[in-house]
Amino acid sequence: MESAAIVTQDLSRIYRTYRKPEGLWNSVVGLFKRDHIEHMAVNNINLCIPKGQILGLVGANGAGKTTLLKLLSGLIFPSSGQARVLGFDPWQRSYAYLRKISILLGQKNQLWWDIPAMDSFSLLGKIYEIDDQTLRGRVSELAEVLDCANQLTIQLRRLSLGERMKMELIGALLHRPEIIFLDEPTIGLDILAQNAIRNFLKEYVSTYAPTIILTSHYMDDITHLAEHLLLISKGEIKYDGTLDNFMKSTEKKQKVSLLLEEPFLNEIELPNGLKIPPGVTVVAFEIFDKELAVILAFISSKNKIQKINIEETDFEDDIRRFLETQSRDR
Amino acid sequence: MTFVAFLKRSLATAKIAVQRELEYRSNFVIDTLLQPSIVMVVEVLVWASVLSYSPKNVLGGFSQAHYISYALWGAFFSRIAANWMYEIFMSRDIETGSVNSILLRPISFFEYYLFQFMGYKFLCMASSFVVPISLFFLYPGTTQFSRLPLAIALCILHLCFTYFLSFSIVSLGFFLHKNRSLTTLKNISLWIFTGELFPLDLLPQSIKAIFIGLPFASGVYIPVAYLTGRVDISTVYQGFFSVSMGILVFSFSGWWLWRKGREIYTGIAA
Repeated sequence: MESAAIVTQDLSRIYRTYRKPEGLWNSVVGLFKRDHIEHMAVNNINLCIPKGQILGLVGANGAGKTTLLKLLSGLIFPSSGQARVLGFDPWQRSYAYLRKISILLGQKNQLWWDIPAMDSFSLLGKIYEIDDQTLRGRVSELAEVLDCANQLTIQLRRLSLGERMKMELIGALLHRPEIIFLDEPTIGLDILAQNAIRNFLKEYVSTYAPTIILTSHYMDDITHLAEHLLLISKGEIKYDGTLDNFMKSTEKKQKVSLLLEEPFLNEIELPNGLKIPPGVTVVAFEIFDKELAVILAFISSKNKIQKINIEETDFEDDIRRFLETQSRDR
Repeated sequence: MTFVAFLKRSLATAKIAVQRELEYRSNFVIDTLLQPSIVMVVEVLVWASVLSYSPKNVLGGFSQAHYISYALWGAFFSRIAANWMYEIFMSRDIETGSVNSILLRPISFFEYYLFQFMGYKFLCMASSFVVPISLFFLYPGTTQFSRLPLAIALCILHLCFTYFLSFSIVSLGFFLHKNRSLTTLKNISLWIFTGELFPLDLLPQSIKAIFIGLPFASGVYIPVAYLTGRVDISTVYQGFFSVSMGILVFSFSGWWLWRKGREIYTGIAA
């Protein structure tokens, strides 16, 4: 498919590891005999991602997000299945392919720790065969937008986490990649730095239109940047569609917080099956819109409500609920 | 990729290693000057003491001046010939997953570290050799200064060999996950095999022939023995040959281990 940036067919990866029961004796036994186990990290993934799309890859820890990124970027080999990224077999690691992609790992430094970022960029310029003038132009352009021009000549290890992340971003974008894999780009950053990175990425995307696969545990990253959503759970794709459609397809819930005048003496079961434990005056639960009136009437009939707070669940809650349901259904 | 682009990239990679070393001044001075100087002093004292108990100050057919000259240069050649630091860097990259950032760039891990290693060794050589060259003018001993360029050339070829050897050991990290014990084992073996601990001509004749025939001897023993008049040019030629053979063997094993290792790599810590 000409317009597809990424196509996968039954892509799977199994990790082999071993189990070691606790204790010194089992460590000694482990010298001679190990109980090997296999873990399916991604299972028969079929994708077709068009060029220029920003895709949010969301899932719980261990769901297979990073393994999928590692497979698509060519870092690891698949156990079975195929993938074509920009027409290349990613794990062949051809230089022509590697010049077209970039990966940013929010939890890992990719620039050189002991030298100023500008020296790292000079080396990257040689690695990606960017001439000096173009390189300097791109660095100053990116540094200006990210407001970090003053930090370019300071040793990387002496920069704050947010400043380092800005440098990592410049390093990842210097060669104008066609596909960018962003793994937790805002992890550990404060709110201001998170916003700065998000705004920068948004502006960058509108100018250069790369294909981006973004994983993040911060749903704000996904809602601000992604137009397409891929939900993954236990190595399998559970939702593949637009962000809007996902929001529309999920039934809205209300987050209700109550302050009761006095606690219940016994456990109270609500009409929808939820339970309020005895001895508490602050109660919080999530219920569907249609249940709201009935539940509140039920509680009012049994206790006096001093304060009530109701708000609609947000995207993060919807995702959590969706993944919980998928997890239970397996 | 053109040759010019390759050359620019290699030089830039070597330059990064030099810049990184120069960033930490005290470490640099201790590493390149103080450490080999102390080893040299200790070895000079050891040989002076040993030979003072020997009749006519001769041991294994060589005079005290031969031994002191050997100690004077040996400590610095062994500093250049050794590769434990970059081997540890490389192994750590595989152990911790830092290798990922190199695997995802259009440069090979082998090339990336080879030129850093060479850059670092060039810096070491340029700064460390100031000491034995200065001392040569105070105490020429049996040193034949005109032999220095060929001795250095052999040491540099041996350096390439140690890098290929290190690359094979490092590639085993994909299978073993932790392979520092292998690096330690290799370092201890090289301590003897290169002739760093003592001149190899002190070994019994049959063992000596084997040791000198191995590529390791070209790191310290052959170049220093040639420089200080213990062996002639034919041993140096033999050294060039055995090191070249060693490079062939370890380039194949490194290539094979890396290829197989990459297939099972799990991209740890990414």
